[in-house]
Amino acid sequence: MKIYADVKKNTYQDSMKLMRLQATLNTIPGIIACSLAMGTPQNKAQLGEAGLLTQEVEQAGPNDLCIVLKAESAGPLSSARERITEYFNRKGIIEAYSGEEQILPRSIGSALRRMPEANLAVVSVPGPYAALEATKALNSGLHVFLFSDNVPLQDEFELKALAEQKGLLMMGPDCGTAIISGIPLGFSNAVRRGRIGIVGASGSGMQEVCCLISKMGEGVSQAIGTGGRDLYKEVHGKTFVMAMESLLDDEETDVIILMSKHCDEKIATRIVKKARASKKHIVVYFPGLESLIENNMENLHKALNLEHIAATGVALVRGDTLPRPITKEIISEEMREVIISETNRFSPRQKYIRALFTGGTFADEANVIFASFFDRFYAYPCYGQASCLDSPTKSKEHCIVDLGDDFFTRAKVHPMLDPMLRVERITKEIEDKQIRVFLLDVVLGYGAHLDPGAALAKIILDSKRIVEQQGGYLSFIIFLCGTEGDPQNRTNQKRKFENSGAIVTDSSTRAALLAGLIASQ
Amino acid sequence: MAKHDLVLKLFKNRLSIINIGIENLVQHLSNYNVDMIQVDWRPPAEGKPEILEKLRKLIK
Repeated sequence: MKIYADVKKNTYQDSMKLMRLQATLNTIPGIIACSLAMGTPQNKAQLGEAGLLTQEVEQAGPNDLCIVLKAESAGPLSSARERITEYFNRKGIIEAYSGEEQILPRSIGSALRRMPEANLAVVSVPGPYAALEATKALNSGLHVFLFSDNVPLQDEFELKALAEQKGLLMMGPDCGTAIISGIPLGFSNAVRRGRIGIVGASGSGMQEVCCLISKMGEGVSQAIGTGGRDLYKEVHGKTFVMAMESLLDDEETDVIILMSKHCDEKIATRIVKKARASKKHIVVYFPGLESLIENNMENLHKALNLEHIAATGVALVRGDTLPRPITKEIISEEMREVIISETNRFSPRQKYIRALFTGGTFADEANVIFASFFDRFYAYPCYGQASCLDSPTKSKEHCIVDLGDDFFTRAKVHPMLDPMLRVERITKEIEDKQIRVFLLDVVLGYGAHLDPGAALAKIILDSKRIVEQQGGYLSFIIFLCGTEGDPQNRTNQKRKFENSGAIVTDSSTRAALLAGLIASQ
Repeated sequence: MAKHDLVLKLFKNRLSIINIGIENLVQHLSNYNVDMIQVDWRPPAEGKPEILEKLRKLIK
């Protein structure tokens, strides 16, 4: 075994570049482990836990890039070092796009001097610095899309109070997605432009709703992300209210969708009261607080799952009859042949469903749906009616695991960007011969892995073959969150998954219901 | 002026973005009608937490 460590002084690189490079290096045969990270105390502690903290790395500072490689032999180490050298010789993205070598501005102030018409700052620096940069942006009169997480709650409140005072939008922290006037920001999708405006906590759930609306033939005017804590009592829903009021006055928006989990009841009540006083139709999805929307509230409509949100918004914009939420009875009728085909080859010992998600909102939705099928099921993170796993790395019985949770992504690339985490987990899961069905979300769009179909097809085929050799059958249920306009092209991805033997559904809701039906036959 | 007039103005005008941080996050925007400039960001104060805290107090 060989170890190589290098510290490049004053060579700041953003986390996503480092993660992508790390994912590439991990594919080199013979590489056991690699880490590329800035020399912050947190990163060094993680390197220590992984047994990769060398002497030179221990001396590194937050502005220094630390590279540590562990390989079986000198050959793979040399290949990895070549890739790293190639990477550092490449042009920056903006430079490549413009075709010119540029000296980039070093601050918001100097960027504004070069582009005085700027109206939005997209901020994705590490958490400890994020509030400072967002404050500078707001003080410069810019709206802010703050992708960074690990921002203290008090800082979030202060940022939003400042934004409110200045009449600016403060999207985030931890705002993963937004669409402003047809322009997708963060992890987002190419969706139709239309007359449905959305205010959401801005996770994968909002992506799914945007994609479903687009697929149903309507479009999105604005999708404003607030970050996942905006409706906590400490933050008072400031961005939610600003966004909702803006959409109420926006001439291009006819119907509004409000969606967020983790709502403080008092704040949600206040928002519902404001919504009720408006003239526009508003779809409300506050899971756990459905009782806030009563049947006699003419312009307010409660949604019970992600597909129902999109379908209700579309019906309202068209003036159609409002849809009922999709149920296991309706799905069962539609997919009768699929269910028969998928369930007539299991061995008697195969009982359980394993749901391995990359998007937290899909895990939440499955949590509610599984509760309608099973007396007992497990989940990590553990909440609602789920029982808690002893360890997040070891599934049990019917089980939902959010692989995008911090526990898994602290030292590894997020599974939306690199399917490797999920491939490793599936490989481990199939040692349990009691599994009947896997349920997976695959999120397409800007920022996501460019070909998840190719990356996951092999593990699906291999897993099915292993279980067949054992005299059983393994079912894979997948839903694709994405559109035809996305870089991955939804149709192409669907074909790849179907060619590997997976069943691909039209929505996250249908996938969870179908998986539940297959597991409970 | 209503308190969200600037938000309505954002909806109507062409987006003009200053990107501070991950370049890949805005890579796709070259396909859209957007102006963009990248900031060559480095941790301020050499990442020293005590100086960072003083900077934050100054800016508030």
